[in-house]
Amino acid sequence: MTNVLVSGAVKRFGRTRALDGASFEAGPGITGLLGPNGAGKTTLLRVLATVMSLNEGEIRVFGRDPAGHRDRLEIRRRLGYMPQEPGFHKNFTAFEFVDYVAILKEMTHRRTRHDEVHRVLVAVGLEGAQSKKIKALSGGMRRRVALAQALLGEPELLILDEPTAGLDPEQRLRFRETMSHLGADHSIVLSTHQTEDVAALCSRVVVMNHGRNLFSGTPRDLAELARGAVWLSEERAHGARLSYRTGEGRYRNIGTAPDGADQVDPTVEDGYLTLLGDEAFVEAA
Amino acid sequence: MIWHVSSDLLERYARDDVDAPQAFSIEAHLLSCEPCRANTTRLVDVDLLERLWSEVRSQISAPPIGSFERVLVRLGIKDYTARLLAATPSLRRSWILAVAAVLLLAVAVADRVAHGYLLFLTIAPMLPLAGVAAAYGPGIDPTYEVGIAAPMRSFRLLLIRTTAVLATTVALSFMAALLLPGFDWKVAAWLLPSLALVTSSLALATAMHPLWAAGTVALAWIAVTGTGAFLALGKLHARDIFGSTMQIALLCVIAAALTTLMARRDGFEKGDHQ
Repeated sequence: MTNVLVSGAVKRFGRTRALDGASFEAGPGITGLLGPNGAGKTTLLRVLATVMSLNEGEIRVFGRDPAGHRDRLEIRRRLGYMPQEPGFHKNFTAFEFVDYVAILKEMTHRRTRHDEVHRVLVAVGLEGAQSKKIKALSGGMRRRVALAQALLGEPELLILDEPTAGLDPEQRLRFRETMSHLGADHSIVLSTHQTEDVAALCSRVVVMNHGRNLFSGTPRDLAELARGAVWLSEERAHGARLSYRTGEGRYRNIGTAPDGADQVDPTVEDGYLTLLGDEAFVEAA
Repeated sequence: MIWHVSSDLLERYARDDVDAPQAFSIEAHLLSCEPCRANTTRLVDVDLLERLWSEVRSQISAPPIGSFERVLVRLGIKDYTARLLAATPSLRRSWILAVAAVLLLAVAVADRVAHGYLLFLTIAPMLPLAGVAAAYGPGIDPTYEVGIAAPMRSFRLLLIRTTAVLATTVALSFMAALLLPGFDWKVAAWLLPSLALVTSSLALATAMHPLWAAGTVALAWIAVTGTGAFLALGKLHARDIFGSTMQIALLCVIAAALTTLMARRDGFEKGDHQ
């Protein structure tokens, strides 16, 4: 079952084409969007969240076209959205802010709404901070507040733009736990710079660059793109496209094998770097 | 001999059909009598208990509401509307104080400089315009992006906030107008311009960023009043510019703006002016 379908998407901002013919599909489970800065991930997620329309191309969410008023409303009733830079009314407490968004999500019955607000704050581990003003919360806690509002109403489709940015390792693990639970019976589309998140969470991954998608498949398929090109050696391999010293003191190289190197299994990150080619290596260097 | 609550009395207690002294007495007994507690458990309506527990949980988990929302709720506004209004940038105390300060300054100037009345009547309608422009929109409301993706119609939210901002600013402007020297029709001469500017700005905002729309309308208003003042040079009087001809023209502007606004209101739902 495909809940999200985008084909030939074009979105222009002046002369810039943020999306330049991107195509995308997502069904139940977690789909990860990977790509360098400016690849078009955020624009694509905004289009999916119905906060922005396409200049060209076709989009269907739950089989509905967000260009139509009724269809758009129906889509909005079934989705939760966490923007990349969620804004807050900083004088609100965490509870008040999530309660405010719950009202925007048509939850007007006070008791039911408060139960739901309490539920999502517990789900993101903020039950102890619900009475704190947003302006007194750390960056990581604010992101969890933003995630909590996206979970309101148990939406069928969750669109999360870099949800793990700014989270510490413990918070990230907790996030993964929440997502893996939700991903069992929801559709989740998330963008991230963390290939570990993709490897740990996603059943599908789409890699974007320059407004187009370069790859679509499983994380394992992405990793396999670097099969035979990842090596561990005692010395830096000067002929490799990327070579860095690991914590264990050996060098991990992508590209040409140095003398005496041991070939190792590639990771999602290796596959991603291989896919992006020289552009990624310039950025990584 | 151990005393127990009769089945009949327990049933009435479970139905909330006993008076307060009886209820206190039964509850005191239940604290120390396990068999009666067990009997009571069997009689309690599970749905009722869940509803009561949910209400208790709701009261405990929800932090107390702020003073602004409390005032609105006491005025009869629904709690959810009060929360939507509490998030309105141009209903913050600092904004309202700034509006009051500008009005007081305009009143003071009106009494001291030539054509001061004209200055007051030009400025007063622009304050509601600024308030409405700062009430909702991309780059104005920090939660705009989350709000536009939510099912509540942005147009409805805009109207709720516009109404509140208009009510607040118009009330302040009216009080300021009462301070003007010489109480006459001019006290209300800014009202229709206020409505015309706000509705025109909202109509334009269906096609452009709300701040650009408000800026365009404000410049047009200054041009209109400035041109009127220039034409009336030498015999300048507020009545010449804000007289019945302008008031009728403004009514036409309001009607045209409202028609456009209603026809194009779906523009607020698309979020493309970010």
